[in-house]
Amino acid sequence: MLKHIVSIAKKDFRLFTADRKSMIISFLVPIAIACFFTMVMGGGGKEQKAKKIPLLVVNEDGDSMTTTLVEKLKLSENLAVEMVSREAAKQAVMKGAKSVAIAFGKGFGAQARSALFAGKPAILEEFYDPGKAIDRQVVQGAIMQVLMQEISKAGMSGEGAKKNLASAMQSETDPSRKEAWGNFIQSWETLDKSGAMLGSGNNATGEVAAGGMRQPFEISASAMTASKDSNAEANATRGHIFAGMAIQGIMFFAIDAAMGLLRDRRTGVWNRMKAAPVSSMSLVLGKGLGSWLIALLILIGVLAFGMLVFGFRVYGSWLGLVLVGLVTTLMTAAFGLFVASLGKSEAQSRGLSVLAVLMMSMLGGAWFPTSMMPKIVQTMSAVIPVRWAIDGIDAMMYRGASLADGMVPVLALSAFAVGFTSFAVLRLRKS
Amino acid sequence: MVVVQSLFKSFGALKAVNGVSFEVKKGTCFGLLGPNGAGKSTTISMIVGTLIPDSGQVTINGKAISGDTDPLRRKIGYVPQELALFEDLNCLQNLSFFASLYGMTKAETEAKTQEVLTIVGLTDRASEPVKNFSGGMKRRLNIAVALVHSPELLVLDEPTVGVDPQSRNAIFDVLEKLKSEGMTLIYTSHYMEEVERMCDQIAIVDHGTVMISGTLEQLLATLPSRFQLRFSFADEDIAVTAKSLLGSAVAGKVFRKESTVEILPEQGAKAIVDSVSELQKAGLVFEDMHVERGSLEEVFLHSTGKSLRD
Repeated sequence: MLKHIVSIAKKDFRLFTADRKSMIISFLVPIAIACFFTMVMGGGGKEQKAKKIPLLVVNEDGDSMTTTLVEKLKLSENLAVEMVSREAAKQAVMKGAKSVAIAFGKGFGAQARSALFAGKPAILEEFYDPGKAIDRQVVQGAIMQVLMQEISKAGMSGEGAKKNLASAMQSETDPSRKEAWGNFIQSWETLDKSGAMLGSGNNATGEVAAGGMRQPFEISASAMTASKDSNAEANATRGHIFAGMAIQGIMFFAIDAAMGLLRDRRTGVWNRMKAAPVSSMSLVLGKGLGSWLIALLILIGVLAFGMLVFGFRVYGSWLGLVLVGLVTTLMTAAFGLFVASLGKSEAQSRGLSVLAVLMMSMLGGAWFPTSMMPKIVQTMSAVIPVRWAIDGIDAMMYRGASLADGMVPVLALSAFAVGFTSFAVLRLRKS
Repeated sequence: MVVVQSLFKSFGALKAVNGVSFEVKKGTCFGLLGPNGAGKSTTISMIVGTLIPDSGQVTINGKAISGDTDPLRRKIGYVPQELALFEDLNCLQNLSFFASLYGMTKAETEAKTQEVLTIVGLTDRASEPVKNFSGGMKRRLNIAVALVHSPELLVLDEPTVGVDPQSRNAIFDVLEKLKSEGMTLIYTSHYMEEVERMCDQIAIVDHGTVMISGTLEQLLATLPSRFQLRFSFADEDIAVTAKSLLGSAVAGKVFRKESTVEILPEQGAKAIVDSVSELQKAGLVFEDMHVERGSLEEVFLHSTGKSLRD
């Protein structure tokens, strides 16, 4: 029996290598798609530098504080500032050449300082491309941080602050509130003289304090991967993308294998094989073994390419990864047999199975992690074999999982493989 | 060598094979002749063991095939109607693969593949992918694959479908050689000329039933006349009138096909004179007249009432 199974698998392997174009496509398609997604989502090279968002700035205000604001914006690590005229800024955004522009109109600086205590707030004009909302959010975050710091510094320190406070008190009509303002200014002067006010004295080391409102907290972000390098998040993304596309690729290969079996049935090859003294079980298992080995080669090829070119690594158990890879490819081979046993003709089966693979890839997390999907989809994805394959490979690739951690996906994928194969054997024996 | 006893096989409401029985002697060629859909391929599938009959039995050398792995299957070489080959593989790879299914060793396979390639005349193309072959070459390889494990019985299901006359002759040469070497053949076709040329025993099949069987001579002897009279007319209207006239004037069976009227007369020479005389009297002018020796076509017509090519 084993001899027959090996013969059939060997023949399928020969068929796979005989058609060089198809063979190359089997490897190239998942690699090409994975490269595309990696470029878009995970950075193009081995090391990823944060991408700066272009920001057009219009400065029509002669105020020194506004000039300082612009200089600070130029220093931002998230922004690539370019000074332009108002009209040029509007045109560039309108045409989609740039996603965001801001304009400091005449009197912006003075208005902003005084508005800290009284009066209308200064208006910062923003022109943005509605198709690039994410860029706009990043720009808003960056300019808010700079503006708050600089405006509060200018408005609440030194003579400028006293002037602003006096102006606020004079505009007050309520006697009790006017008295409160008076007391506040007196306290301010006392504290200012002693150097306790923001930015108006020297700090412990004798240096002049920077002044202005400070951000009361900082976010220290850490990507939770097993990778210890500074590029951990990008590596995880790349690893996930290559695993996803490799699995999608071998699922598509499984469909091709299924179509091959249906073609064998149509062309009489299957009948001829059945006329030989070989059990139906051997015929089916032989087909399955061939598909399994080829799928394994494709998976190894795609992941190896990703590791070499995009530099992601395996931080979990290598043995676990091998095991997950073996059962993943076994599951895809069994899926091919399942598809072949269901369909009566190639034309009938191909369309449906391609749709099924695309749905399984999408819902199983091959395209985007399942965590980005609604809760109900996440729950439902437990019955999608692709999800277990992705989970298993992700765990071994960048979550640093141990061999024991990989057992759940291994068992789930094995169950799918056994289920698909049993169904196929029964159906094909009957037919 | 092969005994087919009361085979029945239905697919839903369709009775594909309805009580087929026949016997094939060792070293002879048995022909199953019938139109498309007559049940020939279904019968063949049950003989080679790829289809289980609803009832009835096929025995080879007194034993029935039991199960997928029965060694009795090694005695049968099966040539399906389709080109059951792997087009991306070459001749040797195709032959080696099918040899492996019959448990042949590497040495046996190497020796036998050369032998069968010589028989079918493909030795010089052995390493070429099958997809580069002509239809006739593929047909020959289709036969070679069935021979690679040295079967005693070769079952051929319409092996010349879609083949040009030259390739057809090449296939016949191969089969005649095999027959002369003592191989038993079962051959299905809807080409009567092939069956007449190849087969020692013939069964005419229609609607899943053997209508008549025997040697070619025995089958021709069942015809009311050993010859056939054929008149061709200018159009179908004249042929319709002529058929009606001749049907009542001439003893025998009269058929019309388009603008041709065929007569299987009971009395040879008299029928010719009577037919021509009656047509002249009625003023029905015929364009052509043929007298032909009886063939399996007429046997089929006589036994089923319809043309084999319909």
